[in-house]
Amino acid sequence: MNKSTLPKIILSIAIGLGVVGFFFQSSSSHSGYYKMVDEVVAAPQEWTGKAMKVHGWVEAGSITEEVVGQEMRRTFFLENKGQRLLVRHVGPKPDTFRDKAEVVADGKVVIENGAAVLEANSLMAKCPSKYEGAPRDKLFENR
Amino acid sequence: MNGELPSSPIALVGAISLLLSFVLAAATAAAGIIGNARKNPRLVAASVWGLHAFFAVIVVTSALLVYAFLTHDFTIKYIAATSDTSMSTTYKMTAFWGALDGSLLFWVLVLAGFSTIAVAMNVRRHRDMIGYVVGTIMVVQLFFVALLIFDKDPFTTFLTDPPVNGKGLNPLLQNYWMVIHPPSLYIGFVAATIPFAFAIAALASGRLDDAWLASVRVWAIICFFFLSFGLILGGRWAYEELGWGGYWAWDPVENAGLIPWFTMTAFLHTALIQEQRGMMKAWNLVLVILTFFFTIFGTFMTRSGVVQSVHAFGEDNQLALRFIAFMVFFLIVGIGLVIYRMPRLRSTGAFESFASREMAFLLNNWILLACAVFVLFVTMLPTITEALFGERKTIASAFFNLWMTPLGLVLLFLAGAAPLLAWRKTTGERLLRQFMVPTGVAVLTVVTLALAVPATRALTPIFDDDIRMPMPLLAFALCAFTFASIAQEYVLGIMARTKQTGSDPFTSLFGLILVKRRKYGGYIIHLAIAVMFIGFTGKTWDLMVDRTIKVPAVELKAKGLPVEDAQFTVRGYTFRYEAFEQTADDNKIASYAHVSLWRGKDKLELMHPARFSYRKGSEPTSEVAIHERVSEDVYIVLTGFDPETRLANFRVYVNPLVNWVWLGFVFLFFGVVICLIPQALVDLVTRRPPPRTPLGRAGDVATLAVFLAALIGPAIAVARADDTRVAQAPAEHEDQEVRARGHADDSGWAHRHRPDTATASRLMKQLVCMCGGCQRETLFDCKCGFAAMERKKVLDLLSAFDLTTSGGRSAAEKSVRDAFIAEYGGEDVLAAPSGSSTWLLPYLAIAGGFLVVGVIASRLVARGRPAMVSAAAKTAGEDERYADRLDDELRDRDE
Repeated sequence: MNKSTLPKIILSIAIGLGVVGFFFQSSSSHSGYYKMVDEVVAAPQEWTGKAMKVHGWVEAGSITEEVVGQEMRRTFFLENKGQRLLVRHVGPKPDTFRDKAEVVADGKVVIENGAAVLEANSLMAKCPSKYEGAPRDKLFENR
Repeated sequence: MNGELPSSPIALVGAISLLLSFVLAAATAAAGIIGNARKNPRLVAASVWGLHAFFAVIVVTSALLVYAFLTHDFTIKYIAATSDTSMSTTYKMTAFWGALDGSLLFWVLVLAGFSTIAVAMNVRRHRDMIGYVVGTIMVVQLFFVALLIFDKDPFTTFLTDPPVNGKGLNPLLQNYWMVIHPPSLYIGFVAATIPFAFAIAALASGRLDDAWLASVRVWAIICFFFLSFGLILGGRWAYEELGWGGYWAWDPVENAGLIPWFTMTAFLHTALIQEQRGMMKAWNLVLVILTFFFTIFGTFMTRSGVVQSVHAFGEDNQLALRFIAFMVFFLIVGIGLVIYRMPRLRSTGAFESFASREMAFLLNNWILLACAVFVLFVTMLPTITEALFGERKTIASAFFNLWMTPLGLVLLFLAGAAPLLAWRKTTGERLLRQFMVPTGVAVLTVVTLALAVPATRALTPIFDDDIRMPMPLLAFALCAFTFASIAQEYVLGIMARTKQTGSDPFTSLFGLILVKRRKYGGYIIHLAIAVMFIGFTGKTWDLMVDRTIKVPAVELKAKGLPVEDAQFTVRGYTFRYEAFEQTADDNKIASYAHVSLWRGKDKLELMHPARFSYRKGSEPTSEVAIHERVSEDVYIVLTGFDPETRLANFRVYVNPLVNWVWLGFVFLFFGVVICLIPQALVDLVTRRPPPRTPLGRAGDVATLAVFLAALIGPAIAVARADDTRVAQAPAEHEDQEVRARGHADDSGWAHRHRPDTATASRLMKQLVCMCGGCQRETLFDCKCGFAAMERKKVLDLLSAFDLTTSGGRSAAEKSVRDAFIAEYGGEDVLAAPSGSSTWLLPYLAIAGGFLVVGVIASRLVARGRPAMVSAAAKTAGEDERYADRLDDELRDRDE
């Protein structure tokens, strides 16, 4: 190997590693976690302050909504495997959001009075598309 | 099959023709590859015919599927799943690619069409590698046809009783942008296969001169264009239809289209280096192989469920495995061949200076590739982390912007700077002279904007949330730089040509563009990118606000309460929720919130954001209302409502400069058109003698045909899509026979007030239902209650006339039409305004435009020629050589 190539290769590798390291460093604040309600409730401290998506089902009868100064505020409980998590949200709700709906709430977990609360930025009500994605046999089960 | 089971002759023939195409593909692939390897001309010729025959079989297969859609053959599962009887003919046709099975067939169809044209154009020119080209294409086809047969057969029928009606196409897809966006992106994807086939053929045959490059150039540009077109249309569709106020969300499916766009763009640039300097031969091959790989990978990524996306395709591990096997196979073959041929891919040139055009292109390649790798990696990150750590890490779309903004701005700078650099080496003096004006303009822009518009001084984060830079100012500066640089190139070119030919600047401009089409067309594409960046930069100041209004203004007024309670103000715009309205027809319940938009005391527009809930039980859709201005869009979404209390939730977006994105695409379109103008057309307008041989002529005619198809197809699609006045083909609500028996569907409106005379029937077919819900169906066809009342109106009006005489009939028709026009304040109510041939207008306009441009061009060029001959007698006949000389002279003058 030529003497002048070695420093070049080392430099290239160093720059490459630097970029990759920087990439992961910068991505950490934008990456989130995807957890089920019971996983969050089991260890709320672990998730406090982290951006995450929480997946569960809306507890029947738990939805409250009120309009405060042209803002629609709602709270509800998400549940899974007997565990429940209070979710607070401001803004519009998805059409399929209702009691017992399967919901993925995107937000941050905070601890209030010792219990975990999810301050949600957005709600995504899961509704398996009837056109694609559902297994082929299920597509036609109601026929 | 016994009589108890549903059977469909279409399905049967369709399945057989699919099997036939499979056998044909396998035989053709084998004949092509073996024939070429053994240099057996008969086998190769057979494979070429096999390729054409394959196209014919696939056309028949596709026609069968379309026919099944049109005839509502619900014994076929695919038809039942994606269409229903109430859909209009247009949407029934587009349901062809409405779901996975059909879209795979559509893929095969487009590739078969493209490959037939490409092979026909190149069969003589590349006699010694065409067998490999055919073989490569057919192996790709083999894979897709195999998927169709074994996995995703669109002709599968029900084994039990078939449904009476289909499930209908997703309402979100029943939108005119959706009619053209998927096929466009598909065409872009498919077009990448042709360069790939030529690259593999060149590698396999060892014909590694620049001949293959010349052949794939056109296809690379077509691929680039359709990818761009598909991406932009997808963005426009998302913007209008999905109601989240944006056009790009770094969704995996969007990214899947963007990644091959990056590599294809990179190839278009390094192909130039190879042409000019004989460098980067292996790299070009790798780029073509990568682009093909990414198109397949994109399809795989979005169709197999390895990533989660709003496009919501299901998980399908079997499909995923097949795609992986296919991709690995082609990657090994492709890269393996490149390594095998490496000794023959040595560069004949070398980089001489950093201040050279090839260095700029090289940098542009790195950045484009970095973009592709970055987007790919981040898109796949959730999947990768799940595979490695068992935990799905999600990445917010904002993260893409952090990295893509700086990368994109470097590209923008290169788009402006590269044209200013010379090949090989740019001297210091020339560097200074070339960069002086563009840099000056950029600096001037920064100073002016920073002083006059304080908002532009905003700092936005790059790479990391903590690193904040004045990116908007930089972006505008670079846009200005690019504008100035392109303008300067044009001016210098015109000046040089004017001097040489002695003609006026306008003639020179025309000549310049015609002679150096790729160069000056390419510059317009650079300009287009800069225009789009203005739109992207507008994103810095976009705004989203949610508001809930309890009572609309009309009810507040009735109670004597101040209407201010029903309004809110966002960035100087005041929104007043005027009233709530619900209408219903057979398809859906439409809920409208009428909102007036004010700027100070000026009322700008009454907007009607709405939500449609469909009776078919699918998810409701948001119908956004957009107030478009050059500076910004005001965009309202009705996010929720309570029909009892008339409470309404609004989400309002203010999107500055967003229209520049669409405008940029218009420029890009023109740039591509200029690049693709075939020599035959130039010869035609310059009235040069036709090419020497019949073969050459045939090739030119084929090029011309491809060019015109590429040009007119999308143009018409857009023209037609935009022209909402174009009468929609009537939906087939019910059979005429059933209707005659007095059939009533759920609502029973369809058979009310049916025409009793031929005149009434004719009139009802001329008038459109203005209920706002249906897709401009005629009164005759529409089955909503509104249409029934309108029909009654027609009958009442007619009752005053004597319809037994022809004079009476025409007077009656005129009177009814006039009455409707007066009522709706325009000819909108007519199915085909002012004559039934209005729909021809866009076509005629396009044809007329061509004629005018052709005639003008021919005149201009003819005018310039005599002077040109006297000025440069020896080069007049050879435009290309002349253009090169022009370039040399420019360079000489500069140095």
